[in-house]
Parts: sequence; structure tokens; C-alpha cells
Amino acid sequence: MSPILTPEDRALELLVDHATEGLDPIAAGELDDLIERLGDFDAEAFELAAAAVDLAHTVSDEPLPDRLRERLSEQATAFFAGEEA
Amino acid sequence: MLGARPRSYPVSGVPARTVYTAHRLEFDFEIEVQEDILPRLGSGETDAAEELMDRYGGLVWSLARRHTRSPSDAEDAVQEIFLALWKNAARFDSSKASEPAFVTMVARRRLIDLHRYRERRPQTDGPETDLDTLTDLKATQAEIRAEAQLAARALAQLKPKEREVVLLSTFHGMSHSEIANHASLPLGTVKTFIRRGLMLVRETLEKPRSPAARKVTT
Repeated sequence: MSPILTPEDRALELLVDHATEGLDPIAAGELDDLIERLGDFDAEAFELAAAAVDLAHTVSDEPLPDRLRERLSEQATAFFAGEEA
Repeated sequence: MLGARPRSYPVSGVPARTVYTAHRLEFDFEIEVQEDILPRLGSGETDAAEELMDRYGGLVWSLARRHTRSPSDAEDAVQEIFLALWKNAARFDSSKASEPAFVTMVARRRLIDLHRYRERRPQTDGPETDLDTLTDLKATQAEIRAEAQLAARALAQLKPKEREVVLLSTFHGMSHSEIANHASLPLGTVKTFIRRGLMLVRETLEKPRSPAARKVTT
């Protein structure tokens, strides 16, 4: 039998899941409702922590492939010219 | 126009490059922090888009390669990640996170949304947790390396099993259930380890920021 969680604990549980493996639409909706109810809640804290851990172990010494870089430049030009919705 | 880029972008009253001293965290290294790019992009300085790719292209590419199955998937992911960064540039707040951490967060969010993160075949070799290797990180930019070192040292405070679980989840992309099977731990324990580990990392990274920045609004 699962323990009954407080809204705060449930929100933290969902935030950890969101930061590490994603949420299905139902859980995402539950989290949105909890955050709205709980008010001043650090909604991105776990995502930023997971990002920092990922960053700590990521070797980023390989540059973007030239072809991809050129494509991104074209997309950036279009985006900032207002051609991308 | 995205092609022409000045070499530096002086901001009124703010030096282009500053030195961030991490002594407040009781660490014994100094970090040279580059001027953030996202605020300029968010305020309409579109030339900054090229600079963003220069600084973070390698990082985003590395994340995408690791969290997707093929180079083709990685290329698609990188394009979605940069689009998300362009759209969300104005949301970046340096009082809440460093720019490398924010970029990585946006990248991870997109990778998870693409449903490739969990589907990726987990790596079978164990995550690297040795401190000696953590201090020899090869990230190319000083600020990326600095943020990585802070997170690595926060991780080093965890018990070995807790650290392993956090790395299997965040770096190797394993689901909580997969970790439970892999590490022969109850699912609830896995979730507790991840939550505790991430909270410790976050608390460590928040120390240099103002107390008012501890709450994030979305």
C-alpha cells in the first residue's frame, strides 16, 4: 500500500520525475494543478540540478557538424525575421 | 543579419568578462565567466544567435548525440533545442541559474519531450564518478567547465550508491524502473536517492545566488 503523500511531497515527486524521465499528460496536468495550488514553488529546481549533473559529465569538445551549423544559421535568420511561428 | 559579429559586446557598466571567485562555496578555484548571450538575444540582438551557436553548439551536440540513437536523430534534436533557446532566451535569469545550466536544461527538456531520452539504449559501462576525472573536464568554455565542476563537487558529497543512481538517471538516461532493476534497489529508494541528490546539487549551485532567487517563477 502506497503512503499518502502531502500535496508538497507529491509535487516534489512529480518534479523529480519531470526532470529525469518526463511526465505523461495526466501527470503533467496534475503537476500543473499542484504548482498552481501551492503558489510560490520552485518549479525548475530539479530540472536545473539534473542539467548541472548532466553538464558535469558531458564532454563537449566536438563541434557542430558544418552542415548542421549552416542549417541552424539559416533557421535563425528565418526565425528572427519572423518567418517562424 | 547573422553573419557579421563583433568580437566583443560591451554592455554599459558591465565588463565583457569578469572573474567569478568561488571561495564562498569553500572551493579553491577561480572561474572566468563570459558575458551571457541569452539576455542580448532576448532583447532583440539577433546577431547573438550566431554567438550562441559558437559557445554552446558543441555542448548541445554532445547532449543530443548521447541522448539519441543516431546522428540523424541528434541533428533533428539540435535544431529543436536551438529553436527552443531562441524562443525562451528572454526567460533566462542569471540570478536563478548559470547560462550553461539553463541551456542544458532546455536541451534536456526537448530531448525528453522527443521521447528519445527514455528509449535510448542505456550505456552498460558504469558512470564515471572519480573526482580526479571530474576535475579534468574537457568542456571547452570556462563557464561551462566551472558549472560542471560545481555540480561534480556537489555530487561528490553523496554516498557512492546515491551518486550512482543520480548519474544513471541524469547522465545515462535510465528510467527509475530500469535503475531499480540495474542496481537491485526498491523503486522507492531509487526515487528517494534521485530526489535527495538533485536537491543537494541544487542547494550547492544556489549558494552564490541571492536568497530572492531561490524561488523560480514559471
